[in-house]
Formats: sequence, C-alpha cells, structure tokens
Amino acid sequence: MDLKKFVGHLNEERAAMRVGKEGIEPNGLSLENMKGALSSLVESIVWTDQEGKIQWSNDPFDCLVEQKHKKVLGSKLIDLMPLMQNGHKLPSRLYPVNLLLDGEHQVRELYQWQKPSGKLLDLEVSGVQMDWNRSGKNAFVSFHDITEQKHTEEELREAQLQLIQAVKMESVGGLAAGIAHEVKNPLAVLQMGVDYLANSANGTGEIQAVLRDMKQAIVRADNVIKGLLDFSVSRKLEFVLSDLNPLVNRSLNLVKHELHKKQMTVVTDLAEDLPKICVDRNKMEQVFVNLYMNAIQAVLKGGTMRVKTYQKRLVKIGKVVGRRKTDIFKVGEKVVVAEIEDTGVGIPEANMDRIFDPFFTTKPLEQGTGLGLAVTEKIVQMHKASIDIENKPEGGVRVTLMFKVKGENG
Amino acid sequence: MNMVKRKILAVDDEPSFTRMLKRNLERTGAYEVEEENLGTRCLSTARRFHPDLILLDIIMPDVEGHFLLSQFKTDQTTRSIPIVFLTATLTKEEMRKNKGALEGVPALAKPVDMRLLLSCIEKYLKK
Repeated sequence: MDLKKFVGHLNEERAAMRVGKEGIEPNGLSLENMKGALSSLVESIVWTDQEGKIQWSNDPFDCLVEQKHKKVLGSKLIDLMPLMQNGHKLPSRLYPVNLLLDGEHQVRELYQWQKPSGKLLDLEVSGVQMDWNRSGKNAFVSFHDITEQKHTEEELREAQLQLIQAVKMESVGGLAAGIAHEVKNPLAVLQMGVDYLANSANGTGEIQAVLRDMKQAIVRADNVIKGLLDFSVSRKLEFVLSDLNPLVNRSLNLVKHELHKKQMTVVTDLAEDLPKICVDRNKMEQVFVNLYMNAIQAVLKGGTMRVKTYQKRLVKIGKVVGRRKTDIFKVGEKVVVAEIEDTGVGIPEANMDRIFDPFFTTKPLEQGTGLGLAVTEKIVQMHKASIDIENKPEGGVRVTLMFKVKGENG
Repeated sequence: MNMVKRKILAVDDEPSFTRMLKRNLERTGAYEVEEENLGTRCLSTARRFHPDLILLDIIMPDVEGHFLLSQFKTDQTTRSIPIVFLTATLTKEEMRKNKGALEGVPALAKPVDMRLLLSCIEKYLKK
C-alpha cells in the first residue's frame, strides 16, 4: 500500500474519526489494525508525541536507525536521526517533526543522514501532523531511502556529461588534427627553405642570425601544434595498473640533460611499497616532464628540485576532498601523493588563477607555448586525480599530485 | 673523383616542398632528385627513374601514401627500393614512440631538419 495514499486517506477521514479508549479508531479501523498495516510497509514510519518523542515505529524504521525497538520508543526523533541538508546540520526549528508540531500540516523534503555505522544516506522525508489523540498533536513521519536512486541519477548525469565532453573533444580533436596537418606542410617548406639558405656560403653573420631566428620560430610553431594535439587527444588514454616510483624516475631521466645544464641538484624521497595506481604511463610521464621542466626553468643555476612520493589517508575536507559525490576524493580514502618542489622564484599571486589557462605563459617565447600546464591539468583530470600548485612560505613552488588507489572508493 | 649520384624520388602533393627537397639534396652534390606531385603518376615515374630511395608523403589529395607503398612493394621493378615516409600526420613525439617507423617503414615527421633527413637517407639508401 502506498504510504502517501494511506496518509491522505487518514487525513480525509480525520473528521470522521472517533476517539476510542486507545486514542484513535477511524471508522472502525482499530489502532492495532493500523499498526499491523504500517508494519508491513517497506518504508520506515514513526509517529511522535507533541514533544517529538517516538510513540510508535515499524520494523523498517528500527532497522534504519540500527536500534532495538525498546530503545527507539520514547527517544526523541531528532536525537536518533539528526538530519543534514547540503552538508550542514539541520537546525532544530527546521526539523520536520518540529515544523509539523509548530503547525505545518504536511512536509516533504530531501535530507541526508549519516547512519550510526557511518554510511551517508539520502532520505526523502514526508510527514503529516495529526491531532487525533487526546494528549495533543502527533507527527506522523515516513523515511524513504533514495540513496541508490540518487546515486544512479548522478551516474547517469555524469555519463551524459562525459558523453557531451567526448563529442566535443572529438570535434576539437578532429579539427586540431586537420589544422596540424595543414600547418605542418607549409612549416616543412619553410624549414627546408631556411636550411637551404643557412647552408649558402655567402650568408653574412647577420643573415645567419636572421635565419636562426626563423628556424626557432618554426620550431615554436611546431611545438604549439604538438601542444594543441596533446590538448585535444583524450580518447587515446590507455590505463594500466602501475607503480608510481618507476614512472617518476623514468620522467626524471628524460630531463636529465636539462637538469645538468642548470647544474641542479635533485633530491628524491620515494616511499617504498606504494599501492599501485591506474595510469596511462605515457601521458603521466608527460605530466611529470612538464612539471619538472617548469621547475627547471624557474630556478637559477645550481638550484634544487625535490621529488617526493608517499601514501596517506585523507582526513580533512579540502578543495578536492569531501563527502559529496562530486568530490574527487572522499574523506577516509587512501591516496598516493607525488610532490615536486623547486627553489625558484615562485608564482606571482596575481597569476595564480591563470596558470592552467591555455596559452597563458610568462616564459620567454622560445621556452613556452602556454600549453604545458593546461595539458597537464587535463591529463590529471582524465585520471580522476588532482593537481595543486602553491607557493611555499620559504620560497619556490610546490606541486602536489594525488592519485586514486585501485580499490579505494571506486 | 666523380661520385655517382644517388637517385631520390620525392613524392608529395606540395610542389614547393618537393622543390625545396630537390634544392637541398642536390646542393650536397651526392643526389639527383626527381619530383612527383601526383600520387597516381608516381609508380610510372619510379619505373622510369629507378630511384635508390623514395621519400613518400602519406596524406595526398588523389591517393593515400599507404596505398602507394603497397603498389611499390608489389611491383617487380620497384619492390626492392627503400621507402621513407615523410609525413605531417604524426608528431615528432609520436614518431619517437614508434621508434621512427610507421607500419615497419622508416618515417620522419614534418617539418624535418635537413641534418636528420640526410642521416636517414644515408641509413636506408639502397646499397
């Protein structure tokens, strides 16, 4: 039997109710009969007295609150089930039972509630106020667990968003690939031409300098195209279960020439026995190389870069850590972390908001296309990982990458 | 000593590119270059020219480089000629990942540096 119909039915018949010795007997329906009917419903149902204390509950309710029936009876509903809305504790005056006892005839609202065992539930709470009892007003409340339903809805929404994103990326990707081909061909002609002129014996020093600049410009345009392709190619990710440390080292190896040129010291502190993470190795190597290159370009000659890996359990709510479905990481989740620190000049606070913007760069023209961090962030996002970049109080920049551990909260 | 010039067939739909290739390669004194800008004509050009190596573009308006490759490799007169792909479809990074080859054929990404091109030609030139 549908509870809302049932309650509606009760409300309609309230006028016709006559008060018997137990309190209520609507048109011959005894309280015992009604309790029996309510007990067989799957929804969790209680009614409370005018102080919000539970007078009666059915089995599903006792199971929901994980309490024995004896303990439930006489407890205040608000104490047994302190509800939350949008992650905040619901104030007492807005608690559904209190709304009803304050004169609202009917309430119906969505709330969250954390079970004693820790699981966070989404509940649809509906209630009616009834003054069918000689002892004053009663609140009659039902709880419908819609956690699964919400979860499914959110998954569906996320899948839709991903689909839209995929379609967008596909068109951008196709466009970028097309542009790349069309631009690279004329670049190839230019490169050949510059090579030809540079090898001509009659070029003066100034002409050679001009040709060098031209050649650099060609390399730069080629790099922009490569960045654009990186930025648009997202469908080709191949995830494999990997150890982070070898990846960190391989990427370090790729920049050792640059490190050497700047006479830099590299300090690594890589934790042993890190859990495996799911990554596209090539793409993630690209992320590390990008971040190392930023560090290398930021420090003066003889600077230091520190690379550290470790695992930790998230305990605090933060930018990407929370309890909501939309948070990348959940409180209590175990993660693998990589930190890259440099002793460079740091990032001016005014630029902090823009560092991930495509084509935003403060580097000299021949060094930066402004796509490095944009691509990096994108790859990180595609891994459902996080990246955080901050200035250290003692100077220099710290980049923190956090990765999901296979088997931890999906 | 008068060195015998090695013959290179440059196949690309862009005449300015093959022209540049010809200028650069012929200036070294070691090569004679024939340009071909029409994919459909390049098998007959190869039969006539007998190149020691073919530089082959992949994306061309009239015919695909991969198809031309299979034509060269199945034709009696051309099947032993080494082929190097010269293409704008791949980035240099992808090329490195592929160890400088595409479907088993040596490949270079455009825009290509002359020094790199010359060393590649010398490596694969018909002995």
